[in-house]
Formats: sequence, structure tokens, C-alpha cells
Amino acid sequence: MSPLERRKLFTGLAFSSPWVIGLSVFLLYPLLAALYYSLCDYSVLLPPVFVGLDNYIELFQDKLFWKSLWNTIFFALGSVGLGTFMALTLAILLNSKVKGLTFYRTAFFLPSLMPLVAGSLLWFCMYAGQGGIINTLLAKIGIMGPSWLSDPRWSKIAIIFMAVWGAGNSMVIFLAGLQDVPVSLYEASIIDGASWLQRLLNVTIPMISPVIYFNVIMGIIGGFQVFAQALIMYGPTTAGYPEQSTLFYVLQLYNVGFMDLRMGYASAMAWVLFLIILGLTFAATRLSKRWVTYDR
Amino acid sequence: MASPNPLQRTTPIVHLPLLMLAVLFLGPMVWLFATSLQPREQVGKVPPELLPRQYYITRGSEQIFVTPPQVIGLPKVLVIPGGGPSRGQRLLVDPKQFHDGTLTYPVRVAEHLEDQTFPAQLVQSVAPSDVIVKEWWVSKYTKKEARVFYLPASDVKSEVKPVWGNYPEAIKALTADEKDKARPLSELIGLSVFPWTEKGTKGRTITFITYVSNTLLVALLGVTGTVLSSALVAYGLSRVQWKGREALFNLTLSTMMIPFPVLMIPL
Repeated sequence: MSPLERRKLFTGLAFSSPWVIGLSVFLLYPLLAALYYSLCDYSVLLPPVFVGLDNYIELFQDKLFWKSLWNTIFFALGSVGLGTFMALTLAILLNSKVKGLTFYRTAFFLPSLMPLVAGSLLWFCMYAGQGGIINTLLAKIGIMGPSWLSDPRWSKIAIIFMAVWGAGNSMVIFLAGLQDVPVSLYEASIIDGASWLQRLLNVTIPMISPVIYFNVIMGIIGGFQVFAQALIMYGPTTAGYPEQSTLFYVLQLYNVGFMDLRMGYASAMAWVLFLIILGLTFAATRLSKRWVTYDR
Repeated sequence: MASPNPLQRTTPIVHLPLLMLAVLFLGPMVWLFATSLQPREQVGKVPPELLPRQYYITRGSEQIFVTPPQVIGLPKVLVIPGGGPSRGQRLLVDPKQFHDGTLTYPVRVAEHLEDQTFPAQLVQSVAPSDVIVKEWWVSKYTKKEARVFYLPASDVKSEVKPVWGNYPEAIKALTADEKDKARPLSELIGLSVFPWTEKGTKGRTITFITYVSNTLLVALLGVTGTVLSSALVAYGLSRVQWKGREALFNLTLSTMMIPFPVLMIPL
């Protein structure tokens, strides 16, 4: 290593040191500690006792674990699918030079600024089966609304709708992506006689596919960690109501860890979640090579 | 107006989906705001109403705001018994219980209820179509007894009027009660960690300002720290050429995948 290289290494490390230190203290240490705890019987009050893979073995036989995993997959798929579709639709609509653009953009972005707690309470009131605003409006057009939050068939869907309502964030990212699409490509496609739909499918979507990919990955990571909505809407004691249909993975983890004080078991759950997200991200990255186009 | 450039041209039809979606997205916000201006009794009413409506009655020159009227539905009389556990209170009873200045009502004697008769004073008789209203916004916050009125439905008027008072009340409600007074950290954990922060905290009431300033402090420090350190690290990763920067950058990106629960327990 030449003196110059060594100096550069030193400078680079010095500049990155806040992150390197932060990484090891706040990520690496807890990550490894959680891995160790997951192999232990640990109740916070007493020092951890090593039990090997017992937690994992019990986990895979736990009905609630599978139930919560299924609920979470359902939510993540629903919210990522619907949310991405909604955000993309909004962004494409807003990307046209329509009058009142500022108003529309504000209208769509505003809900995503709503704190999760306030938003959950608001939707909780709106979803009321009897006399809730949603069912009242549905009744006006002749639809008998379900009792959204107490019907196990609808409770997850209700929470998905609430997540879609906050799609403003990804909409803004899509909008930025759309404005980066070179105008020359559209000009060329118009000269070639492409219709609006053809331009959308053959120019817009491929050009913003990296942005879609980013949003989907972020959505999956976030979707698998859904927690607060269910906790606030149903309260900590009746978590997962009705019929455990809203018992999400992290909610179950929270119950096991902080209610039953089984930190080892909860750590095992956390690591399994990490591996699931890792696997999904990896799969999405592999898949992305087929449909994501990078022009740079 | 059609622009010569086809890329600048938009069909006005795009307003239709935009408007519909804007209504869907803004609807909950509008509803939240409208509800925030309603009297408490109107919130959660079936069927729900959008505009804040306040009910009032007029007594002499005084205008009294009251709860939404409820129809009584049965003939009743309002009396004040001169004896028994409810002596001196206003009671709404069945007319059959009241006879020529005496009232018969159940009184708890030992383990069971027994009808007893007391002299009573008639205040008013109440028709089935009359309504009951309570003085509004009084009992909880001013700690006065709310007055109750029984009167014909036509005497209760209403007007669309926002209750701006909800906002100061909400702030007041966030002020903790006496029992929630701030205690220094040392008292909670039995160890004085930051002695300089404890001066004057003891016994101070936790107010709305406390919550707001705590939140702002966390947000401000968080943002400042993130911006400063991120700028440093980004410079180190992008402008300085050093061995291992690619690896660190990839590691950084992959940490976004770590779900918070994994970190939550050890931290």
C-alpha cells in the first residue's frame, strides 16, 4: 500500500467513522446479540440460559407464528400491490400538465403526513360498522357495508386500505422518476405513432422500472413490519382481534417478547423475520434483472 | 387550448379521475377537521353528520347550549321528594308514583328495595313528546353541575356553529393531572445520572408545552445529527477513494433490510 493510498484510506475511514461507529453500536451489536438471545431462554430479569435451537423448533410448531406470518404476507402483498398501483396511477395522472396540479399534489400527499397513531384512530372511527362514515356513505349508494374491523374477512383489507391512503410518499418518488424520463423518447414515440397506452407501456414503465423496484422493495420491508395500526385499533390486550385476523408478525413478536417476557423466543422470531425479508429482497433483486432497465 | 407541442397537450378528462381520487384522499382529512369542530355529543352520532350543530334553548335572556335533544316517549312527572335518599333532588318518575303531593319510590332497606312514600313537590309534568336536554360543556371542565331541562321539542333550537373551544380543551386535556407530576429520573431508577437536568423538575406539572418541546427537541437533534453525519459519511464514501468503500456502501444499503424488531430487544 503506497503512502497515498494509506492516507486516503485513513481519510475515508475518518469521514465514514460516524456511520461505522453507528453501524456497529446500533446495528451490528444488536443484530448479533439478538442472534445469541434467540438461542437462549431469556426473560430480561434473569441472565440468558443457552438452549440451542429450542426456540426455533418451538417456533415452527407454533400455530400463532404461522397465522401471524400468513396475516403479514397477506398485508404486505395487498398493501404493496395496491399501494404501488395507486401511487403509480396518481403520479402518472399528475405528470400531465393539468391545471390545479399543486392542489392535487397536496391532496394526495397530505394523508401520508398523518401520524400513524392519529391516522389509525381516524380510520378506526370511520370504519365503525354502525354509524361509521364509510358504511353510511356506502348505504347511500345501496351497499350494505361490512363491519370492517370486527369481521375477520375484512379487517386486514381495512388496514390495507388505510395503508394505500398513505401512498403519497411513494407517489412523490414516482413523480420524481417520471420527470426524469427524457422527453426525446416521448417525441420519438409520438413520431412513430405510438398511442398513449403504448407510450405508457413501452416508454414510461420501462424507464421508471428502477423506481418501481425501489418502491416495491421498500414497501415489502415496511409491509412486513406492520404493527402500530393493529395495536392502536384493537388495543394491546385484544391484539389480533377478530379471530387473530390482524395478528401481524411484529405484533405477535411484541406480545411474546414484551407481554410474556420471552425475549429469546422473540429474538428467534425477529431473526426469522430478518431472514424472510433478506430472502424476499434477494429474490426481488434476482427477478429485477429481468424487468428493471437501467439506462445508465 | 391546444398547444402545438403534443407533449404539452392534456385532455381535460384527466380532471375526472384526479378529482375523484382527491375526494377519496382528502375525505378522511375533511371529516377529521369537521369532527374536530363538533360538540362531543355529536361525534359518533348515528347517522353521522358533517357540519357541527349546536343545540340551544333560551331561558329569559340567557342562551344555554345543550346536548342534542332526546325524546322521552312516556308521560312523566318531574318532582322533588321531601324525604328518602333522593330528598331535595329532581326526579323524573312515572305519573302513577305521584299522588296529591306524595311520591312513592323504591328505597333500599337492608338488602332489598321497598316502596316508601314521602311528601313531594311537583315541578312540572312532562309529555311523551317532550325532550330531555342537558346543559352542555359544563360538567367536565368547569366542574359545575350540568342543568337538565325537560321541555317541548320545539323549544330546542339548533344552529350550525363550529365549536372552536375543542382546540384549547384538547390542549388542556393533555395537561397531566396532579398525580402525574414530573419526577426526576433519579427518583425512578434510584440513581442520579444527569444531575444538572433535575433542578426544578420535581413536582412540575407535565403540560402540553412539555410534550411539544420534548418532541421538537428529539426531532431537531435527530435531524441535525443525521444531516451533519450523513454529509460527512457521504463525502467519505463518494469523494475519497479508499479501499473498502464499495463494501461499506453495499453494507449500508443492506442495513435498510434489517427489520427494527431484530434490534429492538437487545437495545
